[in-house]
Amino acid sequence: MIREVVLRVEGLRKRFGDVQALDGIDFTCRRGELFGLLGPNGAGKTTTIRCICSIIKPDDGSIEVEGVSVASNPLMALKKIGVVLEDGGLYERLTAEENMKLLAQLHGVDGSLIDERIDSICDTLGLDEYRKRQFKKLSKGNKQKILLGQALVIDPPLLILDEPTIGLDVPAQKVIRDLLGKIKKERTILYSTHIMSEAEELCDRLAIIDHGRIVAQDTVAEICRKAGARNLEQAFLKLVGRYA
Amino acid sequence: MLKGIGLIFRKEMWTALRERRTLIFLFLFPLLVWPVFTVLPMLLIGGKEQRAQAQSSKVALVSAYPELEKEFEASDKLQLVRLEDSAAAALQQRKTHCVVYVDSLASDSLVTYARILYDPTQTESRAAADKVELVLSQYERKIVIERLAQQGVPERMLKALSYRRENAMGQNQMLGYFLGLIIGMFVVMGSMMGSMAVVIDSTAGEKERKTLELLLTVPIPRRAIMMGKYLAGVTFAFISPILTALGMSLAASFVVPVLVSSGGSVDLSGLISPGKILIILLVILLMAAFIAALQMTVAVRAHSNRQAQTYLAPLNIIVVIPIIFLQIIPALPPNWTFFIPFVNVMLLLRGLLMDTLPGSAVLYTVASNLVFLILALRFASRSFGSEEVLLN
Repeated sequence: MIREVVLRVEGLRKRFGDVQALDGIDFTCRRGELFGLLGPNGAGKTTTIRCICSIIKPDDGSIEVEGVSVASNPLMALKKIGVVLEDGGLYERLTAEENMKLLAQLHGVDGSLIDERIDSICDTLGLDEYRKRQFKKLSKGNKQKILLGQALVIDPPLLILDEPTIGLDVPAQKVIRDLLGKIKKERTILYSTHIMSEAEELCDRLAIIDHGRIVAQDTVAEICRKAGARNLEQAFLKLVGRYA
Repeated sequence: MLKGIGLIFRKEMWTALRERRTLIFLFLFPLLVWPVFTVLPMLLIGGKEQRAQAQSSKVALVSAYPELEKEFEASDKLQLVRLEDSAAAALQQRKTHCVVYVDSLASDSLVTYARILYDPTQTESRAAADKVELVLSQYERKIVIERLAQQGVPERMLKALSYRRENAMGQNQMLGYFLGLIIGMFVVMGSMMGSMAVVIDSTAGEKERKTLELLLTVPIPRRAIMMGKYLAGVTFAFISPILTALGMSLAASFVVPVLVSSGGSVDLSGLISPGKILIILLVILLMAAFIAALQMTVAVRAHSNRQAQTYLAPLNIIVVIPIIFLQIIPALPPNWTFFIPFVNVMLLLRGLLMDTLPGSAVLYTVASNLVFLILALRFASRSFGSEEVLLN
């Protein structure tokens, strides 16, 4: 059964001065799918995410979230997206709970639903102990959980996670990966990473980006098969041309 | 749009009021630090002058005139001391507050020459010199009267004109003058300082903490995000100078009686009418709105708190420069001075407090601030709409 498309990106181009950051990016994420964006640093993953989240405007191409065009109706599209940005932060003097509440209010979530959702998220993410603590007083791992929580509190059809495990120690990475494993069943997730093992473990499908272009797009098994590689890491290195 | 502005505004106020630095700039500086540091030196200096005048001063008299020595001894404000060292050393070691040398009278001369050696850097020495001058002038008058009597001229012939200097200003007018000189400066600076921390924190600070990018992903128009942040800046830029004016006015009510040597305290309510208060609030509000827009335009271009502070430092200096010229601008300034931002606010406050404001000044000041505010807001809006600026 072919599932409904939640995110459609077509012909995305973006130039910063002399650098062509995105050079015709096309992919789709289907409902309930965890779609990975894999690429080396500077490949264009974050720029793609910034375009989808309407932080920057692409020079060309189109983006639709559940059929809503980001270019022509950005506010409506943004209501459908929960985001965890790379190395992102939250308001340090607000508590974990206040941060989630604020983001929910900014997304226009009905006031009567907010507390209930925060309770449920804190329970799922194991944050009950920390919800009244100021964000700045939390460990990096718990901060990342709160960031995930603020994205989930709006109950978005599309969740975008840009390098959510970067900078975390191994146990914290494992916790976040386990959480993603839990929530991926009920969400559509666009997941950017450059950690091969994570992509291999979590992604239903993925696109490998290099120099602003998609060089491969399929399931992990298919990408490995087409590249004649034993694993994703070997396939990745072959595809981005850095494998002897 | 309005709901978005309200949410962002509330968030900015909420986070700012939890920041110790903001509270220090908003309450501690205007209500305590500035008034105390402005008024305390004045009170100390004023009190010292008064004490020096009231107390007996030590004077070394080098003279061959016993009569003159008697005059000095008769004065309850002078205490004669012996000069055991050089005059300079005695003054430096405070063994005496001044040294009076009286030259010997030449047999054919009617004039005796006296020199009062004192240290102008010392309050006590200046006061001693004043008292010596008074004794000498009384002594001179006594001699002249004796000489005229010998010539058969009555004492009344000495007086052809009687005059004295009187302070035509009441204590409230003195307070107006005092406040007019300093309050404009503190109001402008208070506004700058009050909003700076909030504006920096909500722009460059958010970039540094990586929260601005997340804020740009919420379904609220970018203009609403900017306006919410801007209004928080305006609120602080408005409250801080009002608190500053309050603090300075209260402090001035203690200083003025000391300066006019009358003691007691003065009534602030007689100085400012409700109409004047309304004009002052309107002008401060416009200035606050202009300052916040200006700071936002600059701060949003920085990528860290520290860089924003560096960017805004020249702006603070630009604002302080007109203060230097405020003292030489006449009480009735030319109309064009009311078109210069910041200067017009300072002049308007001075004029209102001293009752010397030209009728058109309020109109010019309001119009000028409105124009500058709109321009600054357009710049701020343009900066906030630029990807390059927001993501640098």
